[in-house]
Amino acid sequence: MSSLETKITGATGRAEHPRWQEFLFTTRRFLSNPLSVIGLTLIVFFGIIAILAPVIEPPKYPDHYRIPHTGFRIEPTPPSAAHPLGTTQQQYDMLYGLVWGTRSAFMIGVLVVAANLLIGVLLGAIAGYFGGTVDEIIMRITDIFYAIPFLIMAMALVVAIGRGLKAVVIVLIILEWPSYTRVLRSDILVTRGRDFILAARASGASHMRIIFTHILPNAMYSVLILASLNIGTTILTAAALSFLGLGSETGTADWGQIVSLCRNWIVGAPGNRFAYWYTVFIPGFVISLFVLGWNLLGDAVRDVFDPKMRRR
Amino acid sequence: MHALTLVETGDLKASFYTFEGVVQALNGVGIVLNQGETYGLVGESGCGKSVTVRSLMRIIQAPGRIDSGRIVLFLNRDDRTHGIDIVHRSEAYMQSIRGSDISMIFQEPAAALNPVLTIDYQVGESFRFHRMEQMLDETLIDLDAARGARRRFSPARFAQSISAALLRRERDGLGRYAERVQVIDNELYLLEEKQDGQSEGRKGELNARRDRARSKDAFVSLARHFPFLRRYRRKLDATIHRHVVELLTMLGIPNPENVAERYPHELSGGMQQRIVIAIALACHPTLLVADEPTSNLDVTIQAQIVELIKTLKKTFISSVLFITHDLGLVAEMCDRVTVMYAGDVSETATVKELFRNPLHPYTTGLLASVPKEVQDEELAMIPGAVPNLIAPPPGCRFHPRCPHRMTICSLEKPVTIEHSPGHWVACHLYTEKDAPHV
Amino acid sequence: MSDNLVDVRELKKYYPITGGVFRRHLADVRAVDGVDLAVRRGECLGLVGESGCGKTTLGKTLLRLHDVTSGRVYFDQDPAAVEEVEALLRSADARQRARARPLLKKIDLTRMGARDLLALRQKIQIVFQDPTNSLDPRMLVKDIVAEPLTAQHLIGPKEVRDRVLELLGIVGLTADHLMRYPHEFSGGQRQRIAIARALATGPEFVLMDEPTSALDVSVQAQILNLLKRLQAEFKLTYLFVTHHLLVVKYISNRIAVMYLGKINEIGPTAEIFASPRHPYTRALLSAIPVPDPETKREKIILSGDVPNPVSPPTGCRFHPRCQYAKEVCRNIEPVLERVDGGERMVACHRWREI
Repeated sequence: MSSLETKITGATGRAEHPRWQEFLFTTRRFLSNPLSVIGLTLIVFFGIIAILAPVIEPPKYPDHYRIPHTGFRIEPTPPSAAHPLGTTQQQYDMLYGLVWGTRSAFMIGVLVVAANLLIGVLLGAIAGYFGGTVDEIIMRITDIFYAIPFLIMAMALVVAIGRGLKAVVIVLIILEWPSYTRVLRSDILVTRGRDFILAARASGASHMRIIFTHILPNAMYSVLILASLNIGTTILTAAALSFLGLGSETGTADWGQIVSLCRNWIVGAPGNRFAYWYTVFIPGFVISLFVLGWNLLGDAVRDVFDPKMRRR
Repeated sequence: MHALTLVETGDLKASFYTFEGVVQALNGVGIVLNQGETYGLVGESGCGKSVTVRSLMRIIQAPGRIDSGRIVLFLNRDDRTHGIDIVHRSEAYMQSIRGSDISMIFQEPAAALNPVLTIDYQVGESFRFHRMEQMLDETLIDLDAARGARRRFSPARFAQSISAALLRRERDGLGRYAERVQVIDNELYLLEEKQDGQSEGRKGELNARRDRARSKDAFVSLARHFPFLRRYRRKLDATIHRHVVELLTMLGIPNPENVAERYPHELSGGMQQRIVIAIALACHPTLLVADEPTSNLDVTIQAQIVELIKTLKKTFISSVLFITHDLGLVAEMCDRVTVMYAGDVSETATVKELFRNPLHPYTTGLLASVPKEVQDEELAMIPGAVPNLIAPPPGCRFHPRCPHRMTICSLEKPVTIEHSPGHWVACHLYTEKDAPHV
Repeated sequence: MSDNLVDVRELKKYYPITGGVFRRHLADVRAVDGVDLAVRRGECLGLVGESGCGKTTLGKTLLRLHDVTSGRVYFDQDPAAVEEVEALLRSADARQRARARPLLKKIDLTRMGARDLLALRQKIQIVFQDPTNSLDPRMLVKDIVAEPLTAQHLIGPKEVRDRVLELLGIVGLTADHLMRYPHEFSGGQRQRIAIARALATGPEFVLMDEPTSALDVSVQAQILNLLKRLQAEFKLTYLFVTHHLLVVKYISNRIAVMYLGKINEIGPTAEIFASPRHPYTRALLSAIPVPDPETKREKIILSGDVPNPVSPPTGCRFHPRCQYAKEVCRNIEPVLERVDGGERMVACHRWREI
């Protein structure tokens, strides 16, 4: 009935749809906060670098993530014309490493958080909604995972799977998924008792329908905020793992790996302590900026999605 | 009809400056409460009755503010004709009258009580804050008597002497403090001795609890802060406990000793509301404000509480301001009543007059839409809904829903006139010459 | 077609309290403790009581939103079949009782299989107390009202749209209201949306769980009149749960008074209000504040508070607060007896004397 549709969507069509209005409203609120704009700018900046990595620094090897090195000298060299950001130990080009490292950082961050969200939502929803024995089992499994010390688990996995970014990603997923499950479960416990869920059951809705149509849209906020705040810390943890030698192998374009190469050069010879400041400072600064961007973004997401602030 | 006024508000305007806009909660509210009567304030949600009484006690929180108007209280026990406009008084002054001259009880008794403190402590807090000198005096008398009864050199007597000495020092400190507080021009001043012997007043900079309760005396301060030495206050606590139990008994609470030891969550809703009333009445206030105290309670418990308030009114409280949305309660309890709608006062009258001869169309509609015992025809309805106070209707705020609206109703706010003695109404039907007869 | 649309027998709903390290079963909160109730087709039965009496729990178990501890609920079943099963259950022979079980699975709402239950859900609906809570804040009104139809995929999308518009018209809303969120509406309008949702599948029985308690007085009148009109127009049967006695007087034909999980008195509204027999009903009715300053009513003020449903008093549950209590009231629990051969039933040992 076209006249009915016109009535529903209004003369301007899609623009009048309330979900679109809500999206615009959220975007406006998001952009009105200067900190969130800064965060967004940072992430977009890094995103552009990641996308344009082959343009900025053309790869030399078939494996794009292997950093080219001119020579094998141990001592790092300061920034010069040939190497704009200097070189690390064993003469790996810093600029190449940082630019391609952006790609691996994004990959790690997004992959880990996405996987965690998926696992957390599935298990948390099942545990929270059905309760009883299922809930108990899932909660005890999360307890077990909490009890395992992180580093030991990382080392064991590296032994099992081998070094590389793949191991880092898997370790991080195993580390974080219990938090997501618990957070979602607690939100679901609150939402489950509300009257509209009972109304949906009285209408004959199936469990799947209730979970996906009613409960999750109302209970997702905390988990989304957790996810957005977590991307930053995930990348930091990944860098730490690489720094400890549990991540990718030497010479891979991964920020943590680059920082690990400077381990021996943090303090220079007596008399010239800061001789090799660039090997530490530059990659550290880049990591900090990236994590800052995600943190600001996460804060902004939290402010926008805070149910108390969702007034019209 | 020459009753003395207790509270009088004039053209009171208050708004809430919120995220969505300015909520114009009160649009020029004027009520007159006389001493010795039970005054009812009736209206639906959003009509401003809670905001009015909170302005009375100046407990409106940000983003709310009293914009303009006057609130005159005649609380001076010596001179009842002496009124004070409290809109601009200092917070210290308001603290001194809250709880002791005006008390308030709220809708949710469980929310009004602190779940981690015993009933004894919470009811005793009123006594501690407002009647500390009296408590100290009584304790000292008790201690002297107890000491006199003991043998000369027993350790118990020694401990009691120390307690008495410390308490006496505290009492003297409070006495000295009280001397320094002067009321000049109806404002509280704390006089300080300056170097050159002259005294300077610090207006309203009293944090009453801090300055009064804490004596500048070194011994007392020391003793107060050390857990073991605090035992000197035990007798004081016992005196307060005695007063608390007395109060609970007067309120008809069975087993008051037992109840005083308990925590709020161990009591039922009706009992909790009684405790809240006890806290409110501890210092014998002149006015008790009750903000929908029985809305959350069952009908039978509500009847108990209403009976209690009626009994107390005869003996203990002199005036009650009762807010409710239930016209039945108004008919039972109140002498005079004001009907409010969306921040305006619609009508004020004695209860009999209001029910017999309602003038304002809103009052008529409200009375007709409440189910009664004998209800032969369908309930009358007032069409529409309570307006959004961020963008209220112009002129008379009721006009969109009024069956008798005229052109002028959307243009001008009606003035309150006295239609018959004691019966005030704000409606153009009674001020316009060519208005239809209703 | 039975005269009784809903027939409740010996319904019990206990909530277990567990404690200790091994979560031992300590005691039960006896929310509903043996209720027999019959709701006739086309009537409005009011269920009144104070907080803790179990009326809300009873209502929700009728929709099988809670599972019962024991008892039977027969919805629109052949009375002969019902009587047969009940007779089997009452028999002393264990084999007879065992024969009843497969029969029960077919006709007892509390034991029914999922498919039969889904079919029944189209005929029984509910309107909740708080319209803010009972509408999904993330859904548009058109989806909320269509939920009973789309949840079971009963009709196609085009028919759903038409039906939603029709329902909104019935409750007094318009097409503009379709594409909005619940928080954009006032309390009264939200309750109308909830009512529209309840009528979506054309039910026969609607449970009203305090539908006007969260609303303003003037809006309450609107909703009550709407509910009355809908009952007449669509031949609905209501179970109206509330604690507001004057409201229940206005809208119901019969009233049942509950106290601590049991029904004390049940009968036609006018009769109960005119001459209440049970002492609790008397106290309840006398406590109603009447909006008329001229009437002076003698109030019966009950002493004490409602006892804890975990350990209800022995014998008659009301005896600790009853001014007419005698020895027999302390020991033996009264059952519902018919009064003067009429419609009324009272559960009191002394109803003839007082």
